[in-house]
Amino acid sequence: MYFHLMLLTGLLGMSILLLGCNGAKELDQRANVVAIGLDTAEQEGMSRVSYQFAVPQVEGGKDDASKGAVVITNTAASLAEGLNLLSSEIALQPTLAHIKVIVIGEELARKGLDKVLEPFMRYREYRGTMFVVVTRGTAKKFLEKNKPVFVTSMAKYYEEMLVNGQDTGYFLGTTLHQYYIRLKSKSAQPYMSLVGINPNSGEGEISTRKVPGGKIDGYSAGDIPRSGGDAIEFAGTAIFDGDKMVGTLSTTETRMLAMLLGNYHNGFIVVEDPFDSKSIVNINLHLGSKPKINVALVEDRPVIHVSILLEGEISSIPSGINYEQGGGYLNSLETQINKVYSQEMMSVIKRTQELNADVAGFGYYLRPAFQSNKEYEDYKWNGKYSQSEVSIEVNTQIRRNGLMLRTVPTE
Amino acid sequence: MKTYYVGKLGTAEGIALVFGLVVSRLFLSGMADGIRGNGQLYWLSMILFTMIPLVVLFMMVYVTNSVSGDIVAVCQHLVGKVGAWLILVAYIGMFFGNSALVLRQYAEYTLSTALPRAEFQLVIVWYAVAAGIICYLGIEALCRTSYILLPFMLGGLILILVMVNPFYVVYNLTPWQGNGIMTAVQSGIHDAGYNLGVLSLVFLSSAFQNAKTIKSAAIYALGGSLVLRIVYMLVYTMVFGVAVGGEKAMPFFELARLVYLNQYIQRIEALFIVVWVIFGLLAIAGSMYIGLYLIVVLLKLPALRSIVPLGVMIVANLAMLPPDIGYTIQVDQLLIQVTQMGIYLFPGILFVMALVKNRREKSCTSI
Repeated sequence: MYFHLMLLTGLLGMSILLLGCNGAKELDQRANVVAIGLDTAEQEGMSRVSYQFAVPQVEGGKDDASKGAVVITNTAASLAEGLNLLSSEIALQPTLAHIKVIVIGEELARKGLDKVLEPFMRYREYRGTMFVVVTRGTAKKFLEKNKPVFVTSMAKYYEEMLVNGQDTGYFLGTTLHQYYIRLKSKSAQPYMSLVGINPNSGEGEISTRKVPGGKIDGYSAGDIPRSGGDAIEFAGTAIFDGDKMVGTLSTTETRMLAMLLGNYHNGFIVVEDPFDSKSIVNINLHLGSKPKINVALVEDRPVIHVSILLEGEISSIPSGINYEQGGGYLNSLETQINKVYSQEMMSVIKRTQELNADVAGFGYYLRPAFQSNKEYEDYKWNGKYSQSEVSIEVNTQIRRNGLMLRTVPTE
Repeated sequence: MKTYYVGKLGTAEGIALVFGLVVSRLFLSGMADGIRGNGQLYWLSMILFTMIPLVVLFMMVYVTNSVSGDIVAVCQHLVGKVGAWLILVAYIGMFFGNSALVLRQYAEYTLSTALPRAEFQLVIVWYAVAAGIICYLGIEALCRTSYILLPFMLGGLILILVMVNPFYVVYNLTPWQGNGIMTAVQSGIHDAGYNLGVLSLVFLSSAFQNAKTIKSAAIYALGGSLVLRIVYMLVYTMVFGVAVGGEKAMPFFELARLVYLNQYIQRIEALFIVVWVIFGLLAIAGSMYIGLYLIVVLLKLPALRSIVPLGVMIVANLAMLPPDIGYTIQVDQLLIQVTQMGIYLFPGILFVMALVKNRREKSCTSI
């Protein structure tokens, strides 16, 4: 009896000691970093690290949204030293466990990210689900200029933007995990969302001209012709050869990449009306199935065949031509879309071949052709991608006409 | 009747005991080493290092059926007193070594993940004392607790494997031969020591109802652990690939950290830490119990409980010996190699001796 009493007392005592509260920090003792910006520094061997902290606010309150975050920038020898310096600059304990996004300055991205991103894979407060983006210009400026309009929480802004905003395929949310896996896979090259600061002047700059039959030009982040709203925009893709950024894709090119990756969810496309070249037709398109990609070796040369099924719904026919009646009209429209998208897709693949950056991950499809890892590694896919022969087949099926059964012509 | 001869344990308790002992390394770095060494064909290696101990267990059941008495009596009858001592002391070393190294690795990973500011000795002592309490409560308490917890823990693990599906890249499972068939076969033969825990059923045979119970428990436990290991390995390879998969110190924890379904379902690894701490505790306690049990039967002691504190101290001190986690993992790999003796050599000798004995007896009877 005495022993059991002692045991019970001991266990209860132990459970109190093990509550974990002795090392606990209250929420109001922590400063949560929601974004980290990385740039090159003027001094040799140093980096410029910007921390964007969330400042707690009431959602739906009268607080100014721009006060929802504070940016502090340190020039330090490493990320860890940057964190040490932060302790001398803010009263609260900086916490990295809630970082949503790592913003990398373009200059640093072009120099190479191998050594820069390594600590993110090792230190426990960082996690693979953090998003990574490349900004045109510096990360510091990007973080400072970011004043979300519709949400007060900066963390929610990044999450909503990068998870839901990518549905149209104009940018692709990439996590640190996805970047790192591709970097080491020997089957694909990494890519990241391209972000930038828009001057809000109402004027833009076209990055990719529309193809014949198409009506949409491609833009890069910072170049979309617009005015109003947050200065920050996510548009296009930064593509890498290994850990070095070698080029960018515009919004329309990124949409093609999204289709090749099977990540294209839903978006409007605009093509020239096949029966009235002065008019356009709008179609809401999505992938009908995952892309069918076949990569084979013919005399040691990779031959890639891509087959894409798109399904759509007509959302606008300004010409008034009765496409709803089906038959030849609908076939012509589908053929028009197939032609436009085949050209756009081929142009993107050629561009990535020129940059030797297999961002579509065709190398993965080649892996089953080899029996062992050694055989595959000896083939050195990343060096062979640029020599690949590519064919593309786009098959569009217009399934619905929207809310109209037919178009009655006006006089 | 000695206090540690329970004789009431059934198949369910046997399954829980073996499962707890053999699955604990699933949460440690073994998967990363296996993937790095074998590539996409690690599953073949897993099948081999599960089937071999199962065959060995059946051989040992044959041995114990041939000679009456506990494991000491069986060994003494077949290989003499000195031989029995040598074999059982080696097994004691293997189980204590396993308990200490599993304890050290779980303590290190607890420090790396859940309690980074805690004192190292405090975490070691906490694990050791908790395992000691489980041992003190006895094999029935250990097995039945494990059995009750098993479905919840397995459910949690499977849920994580399913929830990381947005990161699956099926082509990471190719080239299908990985680093080569022969490499996988050799690795499967070398790593049979991962499942040494299944022999606990033979050592504790007097605590189980009969030989059929032991066989069923071994088949279900090893079969279940094999399925879990293979599913885990396939998911892990799909998510990380062979190159990155081989880099991770805590593969399962890393998988759990990747769960991101939406704004509300993410960062769930803290819940998962509780699951692997329980698995770890059961494995440490189970190995410690088998080691203590073998000491007790070898020295013919009347009770096991009185030496539990001794076991706790031995295991805790052994666990604190390696200077760092890298060295601990090296020693752990060495232990797996050493346990090959416990899988191949000793059961082989005992089986051959039992066969010879049975043939002699048969020939004597026929005369």
